[in-house]
Amino acid sequence: MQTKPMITAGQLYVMLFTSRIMLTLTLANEWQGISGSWDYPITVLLGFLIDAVAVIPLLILLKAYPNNNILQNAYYDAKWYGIAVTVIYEIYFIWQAGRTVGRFDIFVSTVLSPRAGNVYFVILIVLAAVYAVFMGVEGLTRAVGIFAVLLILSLVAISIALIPEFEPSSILPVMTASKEQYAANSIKTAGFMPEIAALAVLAHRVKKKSAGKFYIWLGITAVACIGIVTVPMLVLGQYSQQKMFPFYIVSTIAQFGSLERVDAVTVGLWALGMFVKASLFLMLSDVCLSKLLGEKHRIWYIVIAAAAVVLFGGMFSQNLQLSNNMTINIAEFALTGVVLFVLPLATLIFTKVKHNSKLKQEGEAK
Amino acid sequence: MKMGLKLTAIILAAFMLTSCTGREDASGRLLYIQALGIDGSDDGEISCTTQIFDPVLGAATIQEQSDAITKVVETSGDSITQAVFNISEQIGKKPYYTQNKVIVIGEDLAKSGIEQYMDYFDRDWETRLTMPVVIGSPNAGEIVSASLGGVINPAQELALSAQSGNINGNIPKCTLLDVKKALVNDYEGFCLPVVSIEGEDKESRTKIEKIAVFDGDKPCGYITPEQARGVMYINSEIGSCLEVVDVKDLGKVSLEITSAKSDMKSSVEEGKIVCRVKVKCDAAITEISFDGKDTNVSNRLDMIETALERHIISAMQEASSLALGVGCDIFSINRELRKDKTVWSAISEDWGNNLKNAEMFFEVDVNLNRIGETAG
Repeated sequence: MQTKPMITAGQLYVMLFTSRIMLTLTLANEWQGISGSWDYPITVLLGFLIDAVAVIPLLILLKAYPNNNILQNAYYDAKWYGIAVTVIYEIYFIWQAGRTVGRFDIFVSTVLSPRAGNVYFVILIVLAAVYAVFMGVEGLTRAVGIFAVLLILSLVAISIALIPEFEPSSILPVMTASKEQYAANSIKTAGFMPEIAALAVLAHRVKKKSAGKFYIWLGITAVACIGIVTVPMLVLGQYSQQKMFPFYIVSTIAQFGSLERVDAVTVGLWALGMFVKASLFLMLSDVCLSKLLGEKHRIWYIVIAAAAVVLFGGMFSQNLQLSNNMTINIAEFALTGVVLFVLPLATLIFTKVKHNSKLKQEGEAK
Repeated sequence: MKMGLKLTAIILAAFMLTSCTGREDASGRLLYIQALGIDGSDDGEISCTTQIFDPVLGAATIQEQSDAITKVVETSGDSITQAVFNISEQIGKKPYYTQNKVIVIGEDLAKSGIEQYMDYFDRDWETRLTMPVVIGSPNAGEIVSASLGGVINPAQELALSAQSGNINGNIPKCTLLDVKKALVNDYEGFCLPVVSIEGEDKESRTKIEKIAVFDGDKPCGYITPEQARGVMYINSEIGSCLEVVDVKDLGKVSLEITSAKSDMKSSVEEGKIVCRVKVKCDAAITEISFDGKDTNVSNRLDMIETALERHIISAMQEASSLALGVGCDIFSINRELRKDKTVWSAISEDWGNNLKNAEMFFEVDVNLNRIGETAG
């Protein structure tokens, strides 16, 4: 596996920022349940605070061993453990990529045309993502850099265009939601953070230490996500609860002077964003598979991973009941907890123990 | 391998993304719904009258166009969706709906409650929340099928009438978004203009004689467009409007309101809802009749301002007494009161009656910032 550092920490974080923003933009409101009251942005903030705590083991690991990613550290601990960790991350990334393209397919068939959504859409996005993976991490991060600028400018422009429609009084006051809703939404938001897993696996490709800048990234991302959930609420008020894709809906209202139909910009952003997310997770899957099986047949691993993404994506987009299945959601949440917190913590402990015992053995040998 | 992938992507895109659908075929003839009217019928079916823009009916330039470029299609079905789908039986395809300019709901249907008919507009992916909604009197079909003086796009005229409140200050905001926002709030009401047609064929024109006040999803009363202005002042909806006031020694003074912003504070005092509304207006003199004995305007500016302030307060008082009289919150009074949970839980249970006993106080500050091009 090629481990030479290739991208800067800034490039990595821009890519992760874009990925996280896209998740917030596509997130169906029904998941949140409490949008329409000021409690919603507060739970988003709480979710980010949970992430800030959950990421501590990973950051300690990355600081202690800045040239290794979590997979390399796991392999260093024990081969069987390395294989287990890599397999779990691989499953997680394929799952996330599938969810991403599945979500986009649902978006397209909900707001553009019911007939537009089908498995071909998923295949096309995955094909484009496969191409991006072949281009390599540098190529992808450069493309994402340009896209991120467009994304931020477009979001700011749409938000400014919507200011005349803002009606803060139509949002329900804080503490309208129950404690259970607060807890559920905060934990859900915390779980929507596959970017932490991406950081864990891509860290060794970064030229300088990336761990130190994590909290700056988290802060900026939290502010952006809170902004994205708040703008539709300011326009739609309580009604935002009833919309599947609130940001898209408010972009259909926005207009610049006589220029209407700004939603076309949003659709373009969504398509680009989904490409970025799918590419990122396929690339991460490629890193895992190369570590697990070697680089000899790397092309075929990517193709097989892409096929799995199409399968997952198609499965979720074509079967809404599956998307809302409680068992699957709990399993997904458990898997997220494992890759974001449990595995980094376990790897940190194992690596420290092994490193210390190795030092001790070396000392005794001397 | 890379070239192979690129070629595969291009070939797949070429075959799968042709933009050809059931509505946009190779012949390129697109049809657009311009106005959608819904009525109920005795047998429980929904009757749908649509005004459809067909480019084939249009001339090369707008100057050459003499006849309407729209045609009217009437269909029915068990639901709005089915009635809209049935349009294809008459014109061979389902027209685009995103360009729709106005939604007309029949008066009888509105009286039975509009919420159940709003779900179509919520779910349908082509709906835009900026579409104005009006009540058609006596029914939506008559309004949508009217030729409105033989204009080339009657739906456009209808939509402009519904949105003219921004210019004349007589018709409160009535977009689908306004309706939906009010409907999700159990304590809030809203207003919709009631449109009827005056005259026949080439002489026909739209007329908005009354505004329906909705409590929940049913009309609970009607106000005139003039009374609606008071509502618009309170709700900060005035874009511009004209006021004519009598000023001692000057006569009738016409004033254009160029800006009006309101600030409402609601509270509960001694068990009674109290609202204090402050309105700040900028106005410009556009005409004076000078039927009094004085011709010096500069000395009378304070008097004009005071007269206008009184006039606006009187409009708001009339509007508030009408709305509160029927226990309907078209001023969003509930929103501020909800911030205090204790207060809200005490008054929300009997919200309608509490509103009937509510008191509203008004304060207006007019800034007469232009007197026109005439000096003195």
